[in-house]
Amino acid sequence: MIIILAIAVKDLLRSLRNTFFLGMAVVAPLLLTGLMYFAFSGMTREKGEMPSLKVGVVNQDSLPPDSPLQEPLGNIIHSVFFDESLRSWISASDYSSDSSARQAVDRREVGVAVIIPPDFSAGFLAGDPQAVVTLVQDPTLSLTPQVVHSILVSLLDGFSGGRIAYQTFIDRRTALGLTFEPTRIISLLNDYQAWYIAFERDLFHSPEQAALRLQTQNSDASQQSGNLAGLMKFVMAGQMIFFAFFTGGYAMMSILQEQEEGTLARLFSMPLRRITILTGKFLAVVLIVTLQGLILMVASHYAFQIDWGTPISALLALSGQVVASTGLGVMLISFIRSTRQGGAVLGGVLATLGMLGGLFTVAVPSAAKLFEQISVVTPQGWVLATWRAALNGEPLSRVWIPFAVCLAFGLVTFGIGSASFRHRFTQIAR
Amino acid sequence: MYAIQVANLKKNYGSFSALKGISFVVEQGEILSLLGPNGAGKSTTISILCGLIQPTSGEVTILGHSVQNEPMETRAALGVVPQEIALYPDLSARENLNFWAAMYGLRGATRKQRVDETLEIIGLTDRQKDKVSKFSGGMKRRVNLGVALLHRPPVVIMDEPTVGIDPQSRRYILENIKQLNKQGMTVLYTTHYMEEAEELSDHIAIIDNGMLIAYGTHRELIRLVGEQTRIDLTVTLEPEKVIPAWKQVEGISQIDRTDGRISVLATDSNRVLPYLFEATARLGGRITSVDILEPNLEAVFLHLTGKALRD
Repeated sequence: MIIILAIAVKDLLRSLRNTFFLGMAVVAPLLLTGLMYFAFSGMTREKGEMPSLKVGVVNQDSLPPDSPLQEPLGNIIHSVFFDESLRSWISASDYSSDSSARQAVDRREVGVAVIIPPDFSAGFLAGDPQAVVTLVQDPTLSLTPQVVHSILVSLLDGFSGGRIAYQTFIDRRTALGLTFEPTRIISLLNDYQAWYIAFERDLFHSPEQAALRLQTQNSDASQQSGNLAGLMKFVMAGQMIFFAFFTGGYAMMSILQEQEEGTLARLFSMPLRRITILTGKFLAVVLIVTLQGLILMVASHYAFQIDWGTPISALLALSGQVVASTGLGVMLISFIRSTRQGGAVLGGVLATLGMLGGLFTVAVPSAAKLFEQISVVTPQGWVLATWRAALNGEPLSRVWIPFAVCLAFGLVTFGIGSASFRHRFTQIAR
Repeated sequence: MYAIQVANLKKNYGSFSALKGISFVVEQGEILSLLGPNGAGKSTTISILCGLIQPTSGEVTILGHSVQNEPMETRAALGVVPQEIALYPDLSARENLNFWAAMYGLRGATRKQRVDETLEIIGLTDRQKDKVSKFSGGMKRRVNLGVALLHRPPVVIMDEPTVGIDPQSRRYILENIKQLNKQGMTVLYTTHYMEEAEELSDHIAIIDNGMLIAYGTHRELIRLVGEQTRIDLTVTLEPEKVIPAWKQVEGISQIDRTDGRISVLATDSNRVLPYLFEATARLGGRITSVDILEPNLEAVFLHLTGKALRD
């Protein structure tokens, strides 16, 4: 056992020092992961990072005498910017005067200053078009002014709606010859104001609790293809399987390399059984392919937030991948005569089997059916089926079946490869 | 008990016979050189001894163990230095030795000690951490030799271990072999350099075309062609004039003309040469060149096969 481990560790060490091998086994898949990450991260990351918006507020508004409002409208605008729930992305500061707020913008203490004039509520209630809220912005910024502008427009639209409702109510009562109690009007206006503020805030912060609910639905086509995050895990699984088989084959090619370097003959001249040597080399390939799979799983988990399924399902799928890829690697290499021949044969055979196994079309819905039928003849197809079951969170009973086929593929190909190697090495001549 | 015993060894590849019934023995503690040109069958013999290929027929034993029937025992008793550099170029000298020591079943402190000792023997302690790929050909050969010594085998087989290296490294390796032999190690050494065979060997087996054509000590082999020295001379006179005079000199057994030169076979070149100069001068001529060819293995090989050893 110690000798088997020593051979495996030696092969592992050599592989880790082989730049080309390392590039193909670890760097290339990681680079691919990185490329996919950068290509799709904007679409898959729902929690975008946003810089804090610095807003200065000057609230000089006050209620006119006999106002139906309970508090100045300026206070409502002010409270929105200082709302606790917005503190993570709006940092608001109070300024006492128009000029101090403008200076703060000039000094870039804030990106935008919101100036509410002293008679804003009175002018607004009287329908005075001069009742305006002034927005002073840093000309170099675009996002902060747009956001603040949108908030203000939304608030002012609400105020306008209240005023229209108030005016309509009075007009309707007058047209019907009905009298109205001023206290009743104030009550109605307050009700509208309260409803609108709640509506705005709820719609913004917790849409599911909003008085008016907006429901967005995916189109049929997008539902079929699944969301992007869902697709990424299958794309990654396809890539991982492809590189695992490639790594399995290339790592096993070390036996040809040893034959060419003369070290295999030297190993055979030592008091070791040939099966011990072959097992040591096989163990090295198993370790390398397992390590590679784990690296890719961890990397893609952090890059795409891919959930690889339950630990047992993922373990089964990874084991199936390792056994099938190393088994096929042993078989292919046993029929190859030299490392020079090996590169071309492995590249051609594994790319073809990968395509037939559906590794490159895993995310194409229209191709899935066709490749699903073809893929049953390839070990790659069965490894993909195992991962599909694991990634879809299917019960273990559904993961076991493709895993068992992977295992069978791996053992049969390993058996054929071992027999071929045994035949070959009993005839070794120098 | 012989260290190595080879009896009527044959190996056929289809209709081609690489070995045609070779037999020889190597006594414990001696150095036997297997001398022969490229393609003579030396490496095939070595491969069978190491258990790498099966013979078509014949028997091989190492310290009394049959190579065919007791492969583990014979391999454990052998240290093998292959002709090619059988090392991992991307591992350091120490990592290589450490790995091969593990393959011989050495563990822990013993392994470390043997690796240290071997690095000392091959003179690479200072470079032990350097990758083998960065070594010169001679240094690689030394590590190649070191691997075979790690488990202190009683018998070492060396297949042309000095091919393609600089004279200094060759000298280093030859001295190492002598030193190891002094410590009791039996060495089977294959080479096509007759100087190495002459310098190292207690016995020499000359092999050609898959057959053993001569076996014995250096002196015994030389006797096969007689112990006469050949002297090739060029003179200013016509050969017909000087040859009759030279035939009178005592100690000369044969005189021939070859390409304008005169070849003389003599038992002692130092004794006859002054007489040849004197006889030529008396005839009014002089000797313009002299080549003295002492009897060697090259001459033996030429005598036995009709071709040069390095053809």
